[in-house]
Amino acid sequence: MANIPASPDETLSSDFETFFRENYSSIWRYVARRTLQSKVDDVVSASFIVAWEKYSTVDNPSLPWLIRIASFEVANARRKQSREHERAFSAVLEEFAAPFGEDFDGSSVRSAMATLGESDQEILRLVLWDELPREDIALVLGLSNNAVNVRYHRALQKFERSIVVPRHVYRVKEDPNAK
Amino acid sequence: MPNDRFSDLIRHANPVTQEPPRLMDDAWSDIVAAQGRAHPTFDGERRRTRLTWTHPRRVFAVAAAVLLIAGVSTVMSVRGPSNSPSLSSSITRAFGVVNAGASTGDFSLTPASPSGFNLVTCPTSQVCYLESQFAFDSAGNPLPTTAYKTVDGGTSWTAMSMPAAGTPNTSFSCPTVSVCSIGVVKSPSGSPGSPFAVGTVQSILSTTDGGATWTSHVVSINPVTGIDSALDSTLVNVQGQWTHLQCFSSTSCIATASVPSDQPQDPVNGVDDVGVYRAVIMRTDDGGATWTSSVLPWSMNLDESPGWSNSQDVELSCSTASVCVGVTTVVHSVVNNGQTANVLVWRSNDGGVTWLSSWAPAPAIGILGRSTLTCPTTLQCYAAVTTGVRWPSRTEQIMMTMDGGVSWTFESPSTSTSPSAINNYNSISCTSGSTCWVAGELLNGGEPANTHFNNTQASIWSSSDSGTTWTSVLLPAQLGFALEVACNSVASCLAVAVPPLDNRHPSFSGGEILSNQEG
Repeated sequence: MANIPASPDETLSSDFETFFRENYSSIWRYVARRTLQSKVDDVVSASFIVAWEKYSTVDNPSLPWLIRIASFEVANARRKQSREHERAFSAVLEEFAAPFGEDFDGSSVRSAMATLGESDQEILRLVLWDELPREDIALVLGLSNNAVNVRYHRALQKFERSIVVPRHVYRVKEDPNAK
Repeated sequence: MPNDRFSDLIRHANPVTQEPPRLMDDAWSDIVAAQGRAHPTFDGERRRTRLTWTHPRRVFAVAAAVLLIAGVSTVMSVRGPSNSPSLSSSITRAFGVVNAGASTGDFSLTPASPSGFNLVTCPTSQVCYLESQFAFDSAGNPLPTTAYKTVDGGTSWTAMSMPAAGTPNTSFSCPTVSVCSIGVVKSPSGSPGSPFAVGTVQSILSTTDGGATWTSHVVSINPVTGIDSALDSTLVNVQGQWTHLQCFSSTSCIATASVPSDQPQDPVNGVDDVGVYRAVIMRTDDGGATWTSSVLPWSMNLDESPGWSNSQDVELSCSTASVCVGVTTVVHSVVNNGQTANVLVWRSNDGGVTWLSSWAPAPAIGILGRSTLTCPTTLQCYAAVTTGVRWPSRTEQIMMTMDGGVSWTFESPSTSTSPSAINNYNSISCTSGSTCWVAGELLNGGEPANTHFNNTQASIWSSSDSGTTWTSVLLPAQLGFALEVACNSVASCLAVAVPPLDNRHPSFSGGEILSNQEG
């Protein structure tokens, strides 16, 4: 007996589920780096719901496309947060922090990043935390590859000027075995 | 390098490197459930909000055209090429132009309609300009948007040669038989599906010799920024898009555009993937070389609370170069979770420099899009609006003012042959303050039974007594949707109509849609 072919809706649903499973972890981490821990799952879900709606209308659904959708969800979630929540955000972010070294918890680095403008922070996050290729970042931000590079290096220079790095952190980076 | 050192530092300060603590299957189940719940709302309101930079019917026409071609391709693959002539014929007729005899009022098919979804402008009874979008050849391959001109009332059409500045994105606006302008958009190749892709360039093309030669000016239509820095970073090098162009001479034009803004849109049912689009009014008095623009201000709700979505879309009609009326939809932020709205009426007496606004009365709750507002005089305007409540119980009515927008009345012509049908309106054209035509369709059975447009009859209504009474004008029975009507001062009209969708395929969202002439 011949198999009954899947309907277009079923095919779309199946394709999207595959797309979801391929990108869920990346999107979850992207969102978790940018919003309150208690909101992460909601924002991730909202992002995928929107993506599902648009999925059949784009030629090449991709992680950058998905991140762009998630970025709007994050922006909206953050806009609704009160100032108190914004302050709490910094503290909550630490809940996720992974240890870098014995004396390093990353908090001073993140505090320094928080003094930068949002666009500078975002490009540093995309390059160094989300580890997206430059061309993907260009898609996410709607910039040219060259503009991404220029912005990244400018943001890094601003970060360098803003950070007060404990000397032992330098040592950790220069010589991981040094104490 | 120091930069490398600092980049390593930031990299190792990454606060989130672990896998999500939540099971992927659980997350997927939630999304499936939420997606299912969201659909009814999407059909009724969100889709329209998302697509407000285009005419909803235009979107429908695109979908219908694409799916029709999908169906045609499917049929061809089954039956082989021998069936292609009849299919080709059906496509041409499907997106044709019908001509109204001024004396009889009835419409009949013209002999040589360009294929595609056509937008028509007729400065005289014989001379019309047409842009054909979303046309396909007999093999189902998409054809480029093409501009045509007729000098014999639509009996024959000649393709015009225009600068390669982009694809027409507004209708032609022709203040005289030989002076016309049109807004075009050129998207970067390979750009994503966003209508506001980075690198998009808008231009205005103008002719003063009936289309023999054209001049072109690039027009900047910038986003609204400065509200949310996070979103600002996503709007760099992004442009808005034309939505409407009306010219009063070869040098003076007013235009509307929809532009992205950095004002995040409050979520409706947890959905919010874009900043709110804002409506911009633009004016040129030097043929399009330079423009002044103003963003329609953020509006308050009826209860004076802040509106979260003001003029994402605006319909504009100027009876003179100075007096213009616009209508916009304002969706409320605090009432019923953003699911109710009202129509805000804008009026300018100085060519768009300053604007006053007032609320249209109930039951108006939303505008309909391109060419559904026309103001033949400074005091008289006709608009097709959504009325009642949101999906699935909405209706559409014709909203009229005879005093410059101070007061409005509503009419919904009944059709004795289909008493249970409700009317959808797509286009209004008036030749005087008292004589107007409205193009649309009857949705037999009404909504929600006919939500998916599965039983429609194209219709045109006319009134010669300032909208007090309306008469249904005959159209060929095989047409399901009348998308546009364009009339001129001697009351001859061209209309654009398409056949109904096949009853066996009541939804756009799955599988083949065939032309009703296929079987």
